[in-house]
Amino acid sequence: MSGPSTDNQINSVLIVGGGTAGWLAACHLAKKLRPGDPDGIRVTLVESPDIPTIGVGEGTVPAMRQSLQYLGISETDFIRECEATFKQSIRFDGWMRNPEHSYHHVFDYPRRDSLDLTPYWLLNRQNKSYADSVGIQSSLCDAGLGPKQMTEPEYSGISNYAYHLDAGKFSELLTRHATTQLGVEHRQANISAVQLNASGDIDYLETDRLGELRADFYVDCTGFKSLLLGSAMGVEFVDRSDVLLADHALAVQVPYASPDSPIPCQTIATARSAGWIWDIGLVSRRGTGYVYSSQHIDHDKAELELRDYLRTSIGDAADEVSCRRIPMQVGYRERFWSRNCAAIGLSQGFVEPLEATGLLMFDATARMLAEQFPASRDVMPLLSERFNKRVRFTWERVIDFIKLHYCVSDRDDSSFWQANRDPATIPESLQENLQLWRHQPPSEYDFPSKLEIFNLENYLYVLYGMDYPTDIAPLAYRYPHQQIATSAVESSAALAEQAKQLLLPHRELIQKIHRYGLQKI
Amino acid sequence: MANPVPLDPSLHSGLRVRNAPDLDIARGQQVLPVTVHEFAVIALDCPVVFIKNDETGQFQSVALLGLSQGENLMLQGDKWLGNFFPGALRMSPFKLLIANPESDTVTVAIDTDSSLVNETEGERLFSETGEITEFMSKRRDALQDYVQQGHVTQAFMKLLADRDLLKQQSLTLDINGVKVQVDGIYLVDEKKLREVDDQTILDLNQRGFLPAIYAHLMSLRQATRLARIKVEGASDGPSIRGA
Repeated sequence: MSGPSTDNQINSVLIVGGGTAGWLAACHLAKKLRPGDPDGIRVTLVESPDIPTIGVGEGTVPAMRQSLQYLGISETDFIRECEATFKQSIRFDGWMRNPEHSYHHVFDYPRRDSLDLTPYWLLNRQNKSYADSVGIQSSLCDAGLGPKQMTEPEYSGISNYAYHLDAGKFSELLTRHATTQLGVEHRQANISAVQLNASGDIDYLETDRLGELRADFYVDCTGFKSLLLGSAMGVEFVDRSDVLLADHALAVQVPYASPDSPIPCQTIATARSAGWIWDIGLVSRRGTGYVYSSQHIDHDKAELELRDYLRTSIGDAADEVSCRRIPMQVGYRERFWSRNCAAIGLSQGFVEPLEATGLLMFDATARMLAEQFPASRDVMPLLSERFNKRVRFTWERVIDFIKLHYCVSDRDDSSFWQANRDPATIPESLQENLQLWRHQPPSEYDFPSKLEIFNLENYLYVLYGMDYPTDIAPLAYRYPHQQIATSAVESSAALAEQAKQLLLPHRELIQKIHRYGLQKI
Repeated sequence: MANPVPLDPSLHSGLRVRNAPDLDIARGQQVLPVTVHEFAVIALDCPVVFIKNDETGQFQSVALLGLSQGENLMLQGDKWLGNFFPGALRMSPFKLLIANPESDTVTVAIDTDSSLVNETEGERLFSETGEITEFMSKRRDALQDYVQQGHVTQAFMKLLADRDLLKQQSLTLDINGVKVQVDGIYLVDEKKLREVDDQTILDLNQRGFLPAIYAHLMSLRQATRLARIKVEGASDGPSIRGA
């Protein structure tokens, strides 16, 4: 290998597109590449002043908390400026044949201080749900409480949490942080053409008002269009609608019944005949929407189902709110980083927002790109190959996990739910796991990669929230500590009662943070 | 203060107030709020530290009076073991209430449940004609000063928090071989204080905050005095003299 050549050095990055994906990518890249440093790499973001961002994607997972803190954003500012509320769980309603069925996928890990409670719960459920047996967070959610006390510093709480947020306002906050704190240069123009050079690299972008824009490296954050990686470089899209059947969303913003209505501290995901409805409480409004498969329900009927759902909370106002229909392209690009261009955001891939994977994937892959960002073109082929392998693996695992929610359901009231259990729609990796987990509970060994986004805990909450029939009886002799397990479950209940004394109702907590702010220590 | 009600000559002209610090409100209190103006004198008696208000999470400055919850070692029987009574004790049974949040006007209120309030002993609040007495007028002025000091103290705490000059640190004491730890306490971080820029130091100095910071830091040694009071009190040893 030849020594470093100054010609091959990478001195500038151009991010194209300015939604949450673009600005998250800008923040992560600038944090690492330090444009303010004399030896740093220039980071520029160009966005269209005319193209609106998609602006849904209001749910996050706890990794977002680490990212905001890492990027140096104050949690108080974030909560005040982004309509943000706390999210401790996703509550799944109606995902089983019994219409009353409901369970929490909480963010706290199952308690394992004395022993792994899962097999004991399988052996003896004591009339308690899985989440209630292994931790306190589900009961905090049911009580409508926030995850932290006012005396706790920013980014820490009694229980693990993420946020709900207004994506448009979040973009604005990231824009300000990137430009004023991290040294990102912000330009506005529409891209009229993407010019490749003879070798296939992106050479420059033609714009309507800034002439030609050139950089050593390009990040495609142009959304579903994927102007750079997809359209210009011809990287194909891998359609995964064979596994995840939902292909449309109807999004609606809903007012609260009154300004002091309680704010649920979890996303509520309610299953319907051809998909599910999300319901997310922000400070001054709810964001809701129906994710459905147009193969199994027509658009008008879907809209009726959504309005019926809303009627239970807002009455006849449900007929007034306006719906926005968004076609969804489920899948990911064949490659995410090709030559001198990487894609972050919808340009990279998309799955339905059931587990808040949108912002999660933007954030995780932006950080991945930033942390391994090449100093020279010489290492790009190797780095991009590894990046592609890793990100593809991540997308496949995300798809497995989303599919899990559908294929372990016993609903058979519509063709949608029946089709979801057709083995032809279930990835082999997931089928294998499900086969194994009929005979023993999932274990750490089933999740050997350190980089998986959904791990053992996530599977446990969903599988056993949905009563997955692991046949534990033949293994009962391996679990002789039933008494310890019983007292651990009892102590969880006592801990939950203690925590409830300390915690405020969610809206009250948010109001106090707006008024007083949180301390940094 | 249990239930302060606005002063009203038609209700309160028969009342008298003993002109003394209200020790009863300090009974069983591990901490008492102090203003930044009081740091230097309180520091001679007990530690001045910072805690977070349970309700708001905001930092507030307090005198540390005990080493465990509900313990006030500075108050033994009816005796205050300090040279100085914190304003919180001297203001009682009076308090300024915000009468109208929009115009920020305040009114003097009284806690008629206070042990200082009675109908026979002490100073009258209103004259025969319903005018406030000279005593009451002085107390009102003192209240206004105290509230003003409270505003300055809030600004002081905000400055320490904004400049990242505080750290959380437990006080650990050895009492007859038993380790006692006081948690939930915040102190000025001396290392960070040494690293602040000149402009901030100038600002702190001009606002009179620098002496307060050093008074706070020096007062921490008074924790051993609290420990001594605790040991001697427990062993029924020689009676304790105030400082």
